[in-house]
Amino acid sequence: MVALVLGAALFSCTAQGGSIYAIIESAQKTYVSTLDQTLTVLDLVNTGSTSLPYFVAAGAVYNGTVPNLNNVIGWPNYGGTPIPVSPPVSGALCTALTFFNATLYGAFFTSNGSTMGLYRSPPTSPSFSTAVAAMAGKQITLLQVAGPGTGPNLCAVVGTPVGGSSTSGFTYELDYSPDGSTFFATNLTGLSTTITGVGFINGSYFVTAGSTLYSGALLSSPLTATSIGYTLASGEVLNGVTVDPVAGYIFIPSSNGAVYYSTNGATWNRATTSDTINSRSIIFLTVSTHVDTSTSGNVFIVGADGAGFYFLNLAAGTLSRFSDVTVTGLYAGSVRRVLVDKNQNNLVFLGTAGTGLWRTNFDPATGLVPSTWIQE
Amino acid sequence: MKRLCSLVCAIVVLFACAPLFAADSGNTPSQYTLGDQTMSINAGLFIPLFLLPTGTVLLAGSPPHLSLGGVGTLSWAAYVAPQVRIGAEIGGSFTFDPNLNALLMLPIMVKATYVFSLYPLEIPVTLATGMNILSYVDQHYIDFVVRPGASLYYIFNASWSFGVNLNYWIDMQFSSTAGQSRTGNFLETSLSALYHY
Repeated sequence: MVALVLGAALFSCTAQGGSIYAIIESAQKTYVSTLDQTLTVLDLVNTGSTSLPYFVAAGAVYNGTVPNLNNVIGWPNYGGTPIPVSPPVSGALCTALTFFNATLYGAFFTSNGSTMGLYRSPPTSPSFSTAVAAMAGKQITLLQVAGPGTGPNLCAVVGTPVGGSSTSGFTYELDYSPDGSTFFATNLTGLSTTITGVGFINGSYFVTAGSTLYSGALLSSPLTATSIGYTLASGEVLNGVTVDPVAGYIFIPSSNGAVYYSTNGATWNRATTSDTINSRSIIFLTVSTHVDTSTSGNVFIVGADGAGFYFLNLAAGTLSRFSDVTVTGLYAGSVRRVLVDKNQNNLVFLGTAGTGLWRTNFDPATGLVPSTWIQE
Repeated sequence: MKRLCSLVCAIVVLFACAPLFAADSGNTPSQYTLGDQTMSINAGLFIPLFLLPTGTVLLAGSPPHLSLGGVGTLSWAAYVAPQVRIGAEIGGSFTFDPNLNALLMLPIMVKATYVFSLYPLEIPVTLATGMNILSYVDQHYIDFVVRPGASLYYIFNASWSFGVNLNYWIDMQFSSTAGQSRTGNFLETSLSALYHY
């Protein structure tokens, strides 16, 4: 018996150190770290909270934690399947999402295609249970916040079926709200091409629709077509507006392998790529806010249709494609939305069409070398 | 924490005092003799209590650090005196952490038992000690375990007795890393079938 006891005492020490009980003592419930890897991401939102700041609109809306010490983001779940944020009615799908006045706003339609309109949710314990009466029954294709820091507006693009039938096409209008409840129409109504972006810089709003850039000092005053400083190619369309208030830039990605950018909305620059896919120019879909890296100059990430993403280096004026072909779902994916969270060591989310949500960190110490690619 | 410790101590003391009540009532001479043997099979509830020296209450939190679990043991013993038996025991227990990872224990122990007889009841008081093999995720340890306990049996016939066990597990896990050594405290409540031969 003595030998048994001594043997047990001897073997109870391990070379690795630590102990099972010490591990258990600090063990925390972890969330499922995997979303559906075939998601089409429609919008990404960071509320800035310290616990569950990230929202992913992909039909359902998912809410994620900040990465833990093991660099795992958790998605609230039950039994291994992430639970989406409660929609207005069971099965309702979210088409657009944004964060305005400390409130989440989501546009929904029912699972059988009936338009529901706009709903709001608190950012903590989220649930899209409150309808915005002014937007009831409207088909909202884009939600974006734009305006001066002291008085931003919630902007909504509303599609209306021509003749009341969705088979005859849509017309589009831009509405805005200073408080999230009362909406006003801009003069941009009855457009035959959808409005793809709204931004505000240097005292002016900029709106993209088709191949036209509109601008104006107020949304309540007429927005007028304005020049982007370059002659657009035939068929070239403008695919959105991103404003980086920290770097002081406004970006407009285009379908002709170009990104237009400006610091004041008056003088525009253009970065282009001559890359092609199947003999067509690269279609840029979105531009991120800036990523802090050791690379000189401001670096931004530009999502591309079927070409993953590009690095836009403003100092060099270059667009260079992410070239890791082994990350196939991303390299050849269509990146529709990019979200940068500098407070989490330059955490970058890339939301794709059909290949899920991707994540990495661009640590300033490593420049443009991503830490590890994680497909959520 | 203090309330839990008090409850555990009260239960252990109550069982430890059981022989006194038996003694007061008159300890019936044992019906067993040198060379008689027993086999018992036990199964029941495994209750995580707390860790020392940190005082972490294992059932605290939602979800808790460790869940309620199960325990099963197989025991053999031989009488070396009319009321004393010495034997060995092997068993297994399981509990789960917040992420449903199982903490598995496989104790291999020697044990000594003093049996208070109060026919048709028996109250064995046991002290067991030995090694406890732990497995948790990719971690594997061999701990030193001490397990005092007491049981209450009803003598069904000359071969069979049935009863309940209450055992207190003191599982000492030493670590070469400073501040990582812990002693796990657990309570086992189990049903038992004891075969005499």
